[in-house]
Amino acid sequence: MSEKALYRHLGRAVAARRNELTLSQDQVAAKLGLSRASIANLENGRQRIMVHQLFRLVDALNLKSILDLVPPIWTFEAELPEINIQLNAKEHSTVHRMLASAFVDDRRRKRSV
Amino acid sequence: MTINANIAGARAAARELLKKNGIRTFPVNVEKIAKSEGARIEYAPLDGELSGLAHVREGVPIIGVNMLHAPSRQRFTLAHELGHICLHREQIESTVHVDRGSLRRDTVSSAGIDPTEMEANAFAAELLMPADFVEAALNGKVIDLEDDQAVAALAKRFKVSDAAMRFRLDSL
Repeated sequence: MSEKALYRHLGRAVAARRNELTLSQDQVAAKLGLSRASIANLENGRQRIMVHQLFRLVDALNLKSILDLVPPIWTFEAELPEINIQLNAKEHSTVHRMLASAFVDDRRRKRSV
Repeated sequence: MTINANIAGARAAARELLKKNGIRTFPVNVEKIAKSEGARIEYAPLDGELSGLAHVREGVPIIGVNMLHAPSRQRFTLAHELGHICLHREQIESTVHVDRGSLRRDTVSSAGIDPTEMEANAFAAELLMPADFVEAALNGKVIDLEDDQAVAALAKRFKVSDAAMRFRLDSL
């Protein structure tokens, strides 16, 4: 899953639970000390909240665990550009792993510059 | 498609790169050349016959090499992928270019038909086994292509596969 997809996943889970409780974005925002716009962005996957905010969100939405909002594990996998040839599933997964590793290192390198 | 492979152009590009990097001895340090071109090299296991890949991401060339293959084959793969980066950069910016068995020239292999693969192979052969280096190594001698031992000995000095050297000698 890409980072974008992870935050979209979180956003959808928050929106679904908030609607279930018939809370407004304003009400949830107030509980977290955030603006309504931040919650709207969070639900759209555009807001990258901090870990303590994630736990407060669990509390505000009357949930038990952050696992109600995020997947149990997550590894970075970039969304791949198109590949020139047809690959079978096994080939595809090794190519995918090679590229993910190259992309991650690329990011690390940029940060250190 | 009626696009012809520009073999002479591919060879010239490889010679230019050797000159630019001041390479005068063999075995040619292809990894150093790739790095000086700004490429990021990733060695990782790939399934089956996949030899490697080339891609340009946000301006950074990425070369992937199947580390499960023999070292001489890995060197050829690296040179072949570098060829794609030097010769076909535009194509590999939009797509990930994966190569399946770059040195197989049998009927099912696309390498013998696809112009871009032919160019990348010509580039790699020239980079790893520059004509003048091979001639210097032969030192006036003529190698019989059927003489497996002689071909293998020369291949070893250039750190290439016997098949790659035989093919090169045949095209000199």
